[in-house]
Amino acid sequence: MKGLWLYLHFPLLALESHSDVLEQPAALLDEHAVRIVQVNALAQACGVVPGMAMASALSLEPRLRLLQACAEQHRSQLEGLGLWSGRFSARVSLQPPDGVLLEIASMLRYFQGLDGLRRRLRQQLEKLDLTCVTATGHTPRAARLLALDGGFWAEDESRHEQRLARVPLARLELDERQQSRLKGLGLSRLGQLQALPSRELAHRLGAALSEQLACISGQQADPPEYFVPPERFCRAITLSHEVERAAALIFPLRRLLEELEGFLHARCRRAVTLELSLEHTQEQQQLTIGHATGEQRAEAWLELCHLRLERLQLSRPVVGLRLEVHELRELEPGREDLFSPRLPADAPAQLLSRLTSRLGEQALGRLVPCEDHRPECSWRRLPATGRWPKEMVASSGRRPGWLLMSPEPLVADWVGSSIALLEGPERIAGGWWDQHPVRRDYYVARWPDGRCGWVFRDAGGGWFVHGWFG
Amino acid sequence: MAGLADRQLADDSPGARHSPLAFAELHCLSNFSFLRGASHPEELVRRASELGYRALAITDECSVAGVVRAWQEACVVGLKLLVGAEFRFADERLVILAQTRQGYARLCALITLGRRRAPKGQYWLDWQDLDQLDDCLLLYRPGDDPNEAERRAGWLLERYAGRCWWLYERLLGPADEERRRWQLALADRLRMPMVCGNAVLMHHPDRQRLQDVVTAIRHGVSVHRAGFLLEGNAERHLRSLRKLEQLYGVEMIAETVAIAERCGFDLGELRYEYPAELVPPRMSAAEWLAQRVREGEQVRFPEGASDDLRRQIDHELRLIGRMGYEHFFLTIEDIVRFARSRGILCQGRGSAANSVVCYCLGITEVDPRQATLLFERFISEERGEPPDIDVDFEHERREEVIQYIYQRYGRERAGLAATVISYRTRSALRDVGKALGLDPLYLNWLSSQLDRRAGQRSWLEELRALGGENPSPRFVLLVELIEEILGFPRHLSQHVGGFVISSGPLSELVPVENAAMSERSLIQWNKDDLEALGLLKVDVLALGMLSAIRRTLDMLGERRGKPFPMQDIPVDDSEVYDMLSNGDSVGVFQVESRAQMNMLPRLRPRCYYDLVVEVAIVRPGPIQGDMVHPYLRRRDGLEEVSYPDEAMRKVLERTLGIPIFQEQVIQLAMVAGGFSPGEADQLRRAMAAWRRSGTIAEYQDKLRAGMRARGYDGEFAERICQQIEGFGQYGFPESHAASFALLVYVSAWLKCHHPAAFCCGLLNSQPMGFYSPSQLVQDAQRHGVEVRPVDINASDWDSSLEGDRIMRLGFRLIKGLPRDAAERLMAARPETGFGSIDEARRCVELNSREWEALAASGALNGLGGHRYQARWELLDSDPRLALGEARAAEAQVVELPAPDEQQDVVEDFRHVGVSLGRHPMAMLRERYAASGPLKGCLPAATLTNHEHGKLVRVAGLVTTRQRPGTSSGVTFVTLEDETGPVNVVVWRDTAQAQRQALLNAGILQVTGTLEKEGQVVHVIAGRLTDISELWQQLRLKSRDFH
Repeated sequence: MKGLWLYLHFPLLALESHSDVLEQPAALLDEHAVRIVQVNALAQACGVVPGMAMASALSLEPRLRLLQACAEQHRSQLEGLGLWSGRFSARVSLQPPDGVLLEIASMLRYFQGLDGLRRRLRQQLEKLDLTCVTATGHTPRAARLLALDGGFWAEDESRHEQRLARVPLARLELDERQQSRLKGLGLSRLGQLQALPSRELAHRLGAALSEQLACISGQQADPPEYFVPPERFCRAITLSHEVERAAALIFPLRRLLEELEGFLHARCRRAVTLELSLEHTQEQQQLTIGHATGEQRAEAWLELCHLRLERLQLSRPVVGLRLEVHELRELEPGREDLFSPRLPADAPAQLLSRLTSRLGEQALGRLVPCEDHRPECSWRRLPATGRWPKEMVASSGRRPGWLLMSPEPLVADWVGSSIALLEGPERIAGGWWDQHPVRRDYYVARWPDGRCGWVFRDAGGGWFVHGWFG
Repeated sequence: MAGLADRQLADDSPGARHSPLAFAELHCLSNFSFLRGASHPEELVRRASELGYRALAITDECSVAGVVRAWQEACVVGLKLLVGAEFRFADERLVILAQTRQGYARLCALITLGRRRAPKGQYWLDWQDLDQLDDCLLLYRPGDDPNEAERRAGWLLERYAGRCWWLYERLLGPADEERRRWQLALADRLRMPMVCGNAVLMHHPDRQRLQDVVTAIRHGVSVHRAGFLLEGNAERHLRSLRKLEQLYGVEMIAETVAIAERCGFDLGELRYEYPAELVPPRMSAAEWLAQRVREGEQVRFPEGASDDLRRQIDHELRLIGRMGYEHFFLTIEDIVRFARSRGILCQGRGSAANSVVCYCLGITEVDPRQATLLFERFISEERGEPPDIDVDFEHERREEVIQYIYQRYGRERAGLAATVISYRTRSALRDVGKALGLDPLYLNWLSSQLDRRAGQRSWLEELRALGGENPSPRFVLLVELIEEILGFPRHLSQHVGGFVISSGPLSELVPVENAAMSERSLIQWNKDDLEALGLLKVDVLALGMLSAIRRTLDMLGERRGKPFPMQDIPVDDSEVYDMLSNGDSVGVFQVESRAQMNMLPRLRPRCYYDLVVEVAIVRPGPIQGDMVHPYLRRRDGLEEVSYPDEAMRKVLERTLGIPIFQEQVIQLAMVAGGFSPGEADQLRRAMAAWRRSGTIAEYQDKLRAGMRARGYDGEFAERICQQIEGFGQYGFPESHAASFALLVYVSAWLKCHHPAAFCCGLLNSQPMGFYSPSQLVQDAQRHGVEVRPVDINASDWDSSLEGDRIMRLGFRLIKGLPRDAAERLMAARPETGFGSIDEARRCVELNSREWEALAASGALNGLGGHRYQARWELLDSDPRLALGEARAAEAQVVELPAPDEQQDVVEDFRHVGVSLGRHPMAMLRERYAASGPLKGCLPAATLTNHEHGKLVRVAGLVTTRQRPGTSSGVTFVTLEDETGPVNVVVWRDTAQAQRQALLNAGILQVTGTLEKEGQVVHVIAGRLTDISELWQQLRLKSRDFH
């Protein structure tokens, strides 16, 4: 399967998808958080190398920023790059974990030759701020191999073959056993392997290796699996630290817009409005950004977003961004809004969302019990909508139905005289760990008028009422 | 309606000592209920005594591991201690208390039953298992279900009428009142007597924080998320009498005392008898021991023992008889006799080395005539504690000895002592940090910032400093709680080899549980516990050097055609001492470390006793006491040998007036510091426990005062105190040194006269010692030994001799080649050897991994030409299959290019660990010396020709990096080039400035100042350069000793 292919290899994708790793030494840890798997250039300059134990890395560079890989985010980042690549080729293939393959033979005319494509690619890559190694190849595997080996550009098949012969066998991504076998035979470059009689090779090292060689040279077809972009553009990223100034959102946003551009380009569409949501830890903030006639270029959208964000005061730090496109140029304007009378009015969920939008999210909530011996910590407030927690365990002791927001002091003389202690004490002591320690003896007490209250005496000897029984 | 006075509780302060009320706590867990209890047994006992309790029961969960410590404390404060255990059945609890020695045996048997059934650290018991509990009292605490409680209580009453109680515990939790109501009613209806208890987990309510933390650790959550897993309050502590009276009323409290009075068992009653079967019928143990000693005497002193020796033997035998230790000696003699019959080398050490009886019995090897000064100290009658006899066996054959013990006495009568694994700095930081919800990354970072060699105290200071000027509240908690949890036991593990052997079932003496190693069982007490109770244990230890010596002697015996016993080695061979005095000691027992190698040329040993000193002097004790230099000065005649007085002369004469040994320091404390023998003994114990407790200061103060009062120099006293701390870190008594010195001499003699055989012996006993096989082989080569490579047609499993100074490396060095594969290969090997790889594959069936290991090691080079070609041939189909025949005809011959010298060396190191080719540094030097980065680098061997103080440059493979605890912040690096090792000293500042090169380099270039003292040469590092990239492929694993 010959032709011309372009491979984009993003060796530090997992690390660089964290947006703030450019200015300081940073390293990515494995899933056990023990060893370093990727380092940026600054960390490398300090002597930190992949494979190093975290403790030794820290002893070399105490300020090293440590990040943990997130498989989900990583995958979505690669998909984003797939969308982004739409501007260069209609035939894009994702090569997990960190590569994108593009068919370019059919695109050379559009870009006026390979050099034109290369120039254009370089310009666009710069905006992404991702480390990238690029290579062409006369087969998909050749392109990948050359990218993994540091990059190479050529149009001619024979030049590709010459270069391939020099590729170290370690780049072949063979399993460890095969790799060490080849090493054990003193073979280190692809050319040496290709020079051996292929029958003897297949006999000794298995058919799979021979097939792989055939795929690299093009003697055997090796069609890639193409990436099918989603129907709707909807991309989210998690920021690796909390952003407090709206202006600082521009950097991560740029990548999303670049991806959008690729997406739109591949479908020959223009976007009319973007929905940008700023994710906070608890809630989110929606921004709608529109363009009168519709627009495709990331630059243009970035400017619009910039204007919008400039006016914005962040009340809370932002931890993630989400970008959706609802309106492409072909769509008719004027959709129904939330208060349209045709909506079913009686559904409880609808009622809740109505109340929420009328009163604001802060005003509504649900109470759920949580495991803590201290009465004031034994419940918490959840947002009005959303899932219930998995388990809800309440204290087995006698608890009043009405717990006061905060305990109210009692006149000590009354306790034991007009206020009678009926039951108790139940001693509650704990919470030393979070600056709200309590040490109290709780009693059920009866007031002269027959009311039953939940009272306690604290460590200082003061008496308080903390709740009322029904 | 209750009034205020009834409802309000008394506080927890003692105060009420005079109260007429008598109370005994019957349900109390220590921190030996791992990660449940939050107080040490000693703390519980002390607090109970302060509060005026009549008695305290320690009832750890299915365990008596903490009772000995509690008992020792109880003896001191004069509190009655009950022994018992708690058992959990779902939410019900049963507390069992031992009334008598018999009841205690039943309790131990029950614990053993539950523990032996379950994996390490757990127990499985059922109510049905409670059938043999004579002489025990049972306290039942129900769970939440009254119906279940009624059924269970009825069942118990039926079986244990008059011996079981309803245990009521009012812990002021939620629903307390309701529980109280139904329990009172039910117990009353069933006519089950009620008694109160408090399910104690801590001695004082202040421990609540730690109690919460250990609970969180146990459940693997943080305290913030632990919720109802935590106790709701701090009531599970030892409560004041006033409060108890309020909570339970006098009747239930009186019942606790009645129960305590029915328990008369005291741990001090435990005596156990050594197995009697070793003594022939109609003979007393004493007679039999005397006979054995007489027999041994004739072997040890064929010319007849002198009168002095006779008198000593009689004296020792009388003492042994008075203390009743005959069986102990006979038991050890029996084990040693077994080992000898199997040709397993063994040697006793410890204070036994002071005994002529032990020498005659063959337990020790130190001839008392060689070290007459030593045997004044053996069993001490006043101390009344069992003699300490450790026996070392060949490390690879110790298992045979252990199996013999199990087989001879049965698993039910022999068990290993436990080692209590306790919280130490790092584990405490990790677990407490997690429990406080700190980020694991942050904890790892903290941990990496701390110097692991520092003591625990300074470690805590360092940790505190990491919190900054204004530490966060959580950080403050972290430090406080770590400080509290240090020393808390976490689990039991097996002692390295301390056996307890009894005449009856062991499980009636102490519970037995499973060890992590299958087929091993351990008892619930450690060696301190055993010592406190006066129980004897036999230490069966493993020593690699004994294996190496035995193998070397076997090889020499084979060559000369008759056995070569250790006794045939001539004593006081001056060539051996010359060799050692040159610091030429690679592979020699004990004195091969770099520090020892530096000491040897300064001390220049000339006789056996010099070796004893040599072994003991390079230790924290003498170094911290600054005794090394005075001793050397006196030896060299630079300083006069003098003694302050006659008493001191007696103690210090053998070491020229300078205290070197731990024994001498203890004697000094008596002679010069006025310590009584009892106090001196406490000092010895305090030194041994210093790492754990850190309390030695009071003895130091007493010693200073005592010495001042007797007119000794204050500076001298101060040094003795420093030395005491050093011994606390690493105690090294003279009696150990004496036994070890024998092996030093024997191994040095072998190295000196039979370097090839000795090197084989060491290689065949790996892993052991300080040096890698590569270093051992290079050393042998430097001593004129010809070393031949592993070869399929010439090698044995072991490395072997092919001439007096010619050795052949064995198959055992090949990584990934199992022994049985090599054995099959050797069995199938024709007399003339295999002619080709093809022939070898037809004759022997090995799997592909094993063939690959052979090819990788270069063992097939004789047949295939080189490794690459050998592998290519091995990848062809199996010649024994029919398919192979058909293929042979059509196969195309491929000749692969041979590896170059460097590739061969890399594979040698990777697959054999030893290379006989040129040293990597020789290759590098050839390539880079003229103009490259190695320009001006001096070979190691030429350093002695240069002047002290000269600026030099050296380069080599990094073989060790070491930061000894005795040197403040210095890192010692050993480089190795083709001519030998270079010792590099890196001061702290240099190390910090050039960390990267220091920590990462595989090949290091050092520019620095040459330091020469006699024959000892160092390079004090100035600049370190990592030049590893010069040899990218060579990844020699440096042995890092941090």
